[in-house]
Amino acid sequence: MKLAREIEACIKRLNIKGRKRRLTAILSHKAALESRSARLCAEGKLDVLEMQEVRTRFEQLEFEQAELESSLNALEGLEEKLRFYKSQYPDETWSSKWIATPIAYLLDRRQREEWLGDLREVEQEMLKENQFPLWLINLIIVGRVARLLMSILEVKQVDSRRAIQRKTE
Amino acid sequence: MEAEALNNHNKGNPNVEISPREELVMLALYNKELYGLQIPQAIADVSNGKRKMGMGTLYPVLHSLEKKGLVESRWGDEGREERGGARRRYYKLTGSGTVAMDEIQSFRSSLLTWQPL
Repeated sequence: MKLAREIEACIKRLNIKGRKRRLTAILSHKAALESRSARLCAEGKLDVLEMQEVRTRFEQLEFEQAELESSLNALEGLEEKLRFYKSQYPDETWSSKWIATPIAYLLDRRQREEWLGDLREVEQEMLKENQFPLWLINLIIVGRVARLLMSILEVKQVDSRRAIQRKTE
Repeated sequence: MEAEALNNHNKGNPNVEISPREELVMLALYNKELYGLQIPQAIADVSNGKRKMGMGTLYPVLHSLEKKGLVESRWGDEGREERGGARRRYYKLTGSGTVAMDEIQSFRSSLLTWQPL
C-alpha cells in the first residue's frame, strides 16, 4: 500500500490535468496556424521562406502533440491500474471507515484511540496477509465492532455498579 | 496499600475479587508490559490456540483491573501508520497486582501439595 501511495503521489506530480491543458492549447494553436497559413497562401502573401518557417513550426507542434499524447496515455493507463489495485487491496475497509469509526465516537477519547487503533492494526494485518476475501474481512470487522459495543455496555455497567456500591458503603 | 489489597483479596472482598478472565490477563502481564493486542496473542500462543480471548472481552477486563488498582497503563510514544496514527496503550501490573499474583500462585502450589492429616 505504501508503494501505491508513492505511485499516486508521483502521478500527481506529473500533473495529468496540466498536460491535458497543454495538449488542448497545442491543438488549437495548430488549427489556427493551419487556417491562417492556408488563407495567406491562397492570397499569395507567403513567400517560400515563410512557408518553410510555418511548416517547421507545424512539425514542432505535431512532435510536441505526439509526445504529450503518448505520455498522457501511459499516465492514464497507470492511473487505471492503480485504481484497480486500490479497489482490490484497499488501505481501509468500508466497515472500518463507515461502521467502526462512527461508533467509536460513543467512547471517550482515550478508549477511542486505543480501540480504534487496535482494530485498525488487526485490519491492516488481515489486508496485508491477503488471506481472506474483502467481504470476509468486512464481516469480521463488523462482528468485532458488535462485540466491542457489548463490551462498552459491560464497562458502563461495571462502573455504575461500582458507583452504587461506593454510595451504599 | 498492597497488604490491604491482598488482605481484601484473601477475605473475598468484591473490590479485589479476581475472576478467571482477569487472572489470565494478569498472568500474561506478569513481569512484562504489553499492549492490548499482545495479551490475547500471548494467551493463544502459550495455549497453542486452545485458549482465546477476543478484544471485546479483553477491554472490560483491563478496565476492571485498572479500576481495582491491579493494572496500570500508559500511552506508547508515537502514533503508528498501521494504526491510523493511533498510539498503543501499554499495560503492566501494579505493585498490588504483582503481590496478588504471587499470592494466587503460592496458594495454587500449596493446594497442589496439600495432604490430609
